[in-house]
Amino acid sequence: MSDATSDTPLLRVAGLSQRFAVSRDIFGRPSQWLEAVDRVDLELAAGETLGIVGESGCGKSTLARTILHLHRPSAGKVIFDGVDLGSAGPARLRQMRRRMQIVMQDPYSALNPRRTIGSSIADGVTGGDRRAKVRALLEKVGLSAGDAGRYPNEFSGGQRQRICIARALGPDPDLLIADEAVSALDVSVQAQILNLLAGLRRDFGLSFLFISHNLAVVRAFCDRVAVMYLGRIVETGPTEAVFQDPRHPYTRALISAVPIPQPGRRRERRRLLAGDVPSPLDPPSGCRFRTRCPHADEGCARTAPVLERLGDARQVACLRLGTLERGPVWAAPVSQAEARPC
Amino acid sequence: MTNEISDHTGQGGAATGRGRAPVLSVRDLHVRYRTDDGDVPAVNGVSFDLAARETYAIVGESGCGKSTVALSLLALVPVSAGEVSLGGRNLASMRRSELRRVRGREIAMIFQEPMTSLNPVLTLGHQLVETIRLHQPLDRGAARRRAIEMLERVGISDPARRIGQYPHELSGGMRQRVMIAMALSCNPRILVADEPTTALDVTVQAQILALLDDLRAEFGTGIVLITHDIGVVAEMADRIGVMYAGRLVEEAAAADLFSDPRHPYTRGLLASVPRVDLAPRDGPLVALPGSPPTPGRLPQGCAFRTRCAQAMDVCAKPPPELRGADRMVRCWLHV
Repeated sequence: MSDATSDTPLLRVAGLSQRFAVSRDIFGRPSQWLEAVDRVDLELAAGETLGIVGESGCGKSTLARTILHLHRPSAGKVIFDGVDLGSAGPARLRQMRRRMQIVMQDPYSALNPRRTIGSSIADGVTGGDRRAKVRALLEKVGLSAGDAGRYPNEFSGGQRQRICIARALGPDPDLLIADEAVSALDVSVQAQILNLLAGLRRDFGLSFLFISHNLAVVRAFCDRVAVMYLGRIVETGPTEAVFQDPRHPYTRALISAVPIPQPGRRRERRRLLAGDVPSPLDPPSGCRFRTRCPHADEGCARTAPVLERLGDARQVACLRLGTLERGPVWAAPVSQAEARPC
Repeated sequence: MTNEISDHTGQGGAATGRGRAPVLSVRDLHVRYRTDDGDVPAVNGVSFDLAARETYAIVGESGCGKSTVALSLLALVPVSAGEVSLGGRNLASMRRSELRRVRGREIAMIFQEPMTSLNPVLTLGHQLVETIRLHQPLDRGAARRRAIEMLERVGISDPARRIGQYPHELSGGMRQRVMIAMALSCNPRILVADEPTTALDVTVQAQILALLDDLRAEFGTGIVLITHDIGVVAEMADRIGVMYAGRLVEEAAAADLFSDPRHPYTRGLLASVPRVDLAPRDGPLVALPGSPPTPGRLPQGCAFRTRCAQAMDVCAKPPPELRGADRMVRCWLHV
């Protein structure tokens, strides 16, 4: 875009909400709503990777689909490279969408089993010698050009995810949305795919919206992170700032619940949250986390906190922020050398 | 470092029960599945012991045979060779009626997906009471009281009301608690937990792991934990068996395995796990090349050699199982 300057974000999401009617009265009018995404703001610069983390039902996948306008948002805006997708006509929307591609969790169901992988990938490729480009894409993702004529069932899960990535790269996107893209893979294969994505990011300057429930993977891969709970972002900031000094009580609980792969460190965490995530059909009033929060008081039931800026490019939505503990959730920092003997 | 770790592990390290008689003993277990491609060896000579109060974890990637091992511990799959013995009695020699008594009473199992393990059209109370009365000479009222007591013990609030509910009325974490209550209601000596927290969110996983560990200490149950999650293993296990392509390739006390992994697969597996508690290093993550092999299409000799950076000519022959100093490794590098 001619008017884009270097500090204009590639993607800007403002006040984005997505609600679904889950039941209707006898006149067909919605009588109950599920607010899957509630007034989310975020920005993504060109070449940047933003991780979206949260537990099941927090709205992270709905957020991705709403950004792509696979669902029309109930409220709010998605501005991609200066273009408001909500007011763009169908042709313009299609054109913009080509530049934002998605890779999903399950590479088994994402590919048509009756088509060769070459023809699946070729769908998104435009202009010139499509066959040559498909071959180049296959090699780029670590497969061989000769695989184009083979069918999905001839590949392993990790290889199929490579195929999905090649297909997503077909239209030369600027933004790749990875929705739990490595979650179904074995850990040895997961590292390969993360390395592949990191290479693509480096070579093509791709931006990533990296949606995952796996916090360790997010820490390894993302520049910034946003933590979602029941449809809202509760904390966002540079990845290392958030992991080294999580501020929101939910972020602290979430990070400390992840088992650390080092037996000597077990049981030093244990900031156990009680209960489960409440149903998004009937979210708590005020702060949605208050029913599980060890620090909640009466005020948290009345007022919904909004994201407030802290000094370190961080935003946190918590009424009791000033009174809470901070710093790392683990007792003692451990050096890489000590933690990784091999 | 090692000293520090054994302080934390408590039951781990030297006190892994090697001296005590095992409550569960598996010897040279083989399980083959009949498929369209012919007989496929899913488990190919697995041996291990479980002591009372011990958590023995079997860790491995998809298709390595770890769930088949779990099922064979309750004789839920046909064992083609080898032996599974509970307190000295071989499962294979038991009659059907005897097996029914042993399952639930002496060895119980919980699965990854608690929804599919509970009967959707019966109340929780019905299912719990039935399980309890199958194994214990209690009347309906006493069994119901026991069921409520167990639900309370696994952290279900208002158990007297919950007992009248159906599985779909519970969250995933609650259902897994009910499964644990059911499995432990007859105080079995062994609990087989196959990916018990894989379908759960991480905050709920932490609750369930803490619960399992408390119950193990309280009831003295030995746990066989099957998982692909290295973090869960580090959290829970006293001893760990690493499984690859139907075989245990390495076994050691948890602290030893993590501080000094010997098999190249174990080393690669541990190194490829991203750490939530450490800032990432520069450069790419450590990754093993290739994918786990399909059972039935295993390389000759050492099944890992096609992915192994240290493979040698001799690896075309099956590596021997080397036992010593409380650890086992199956690799030509350590011969």
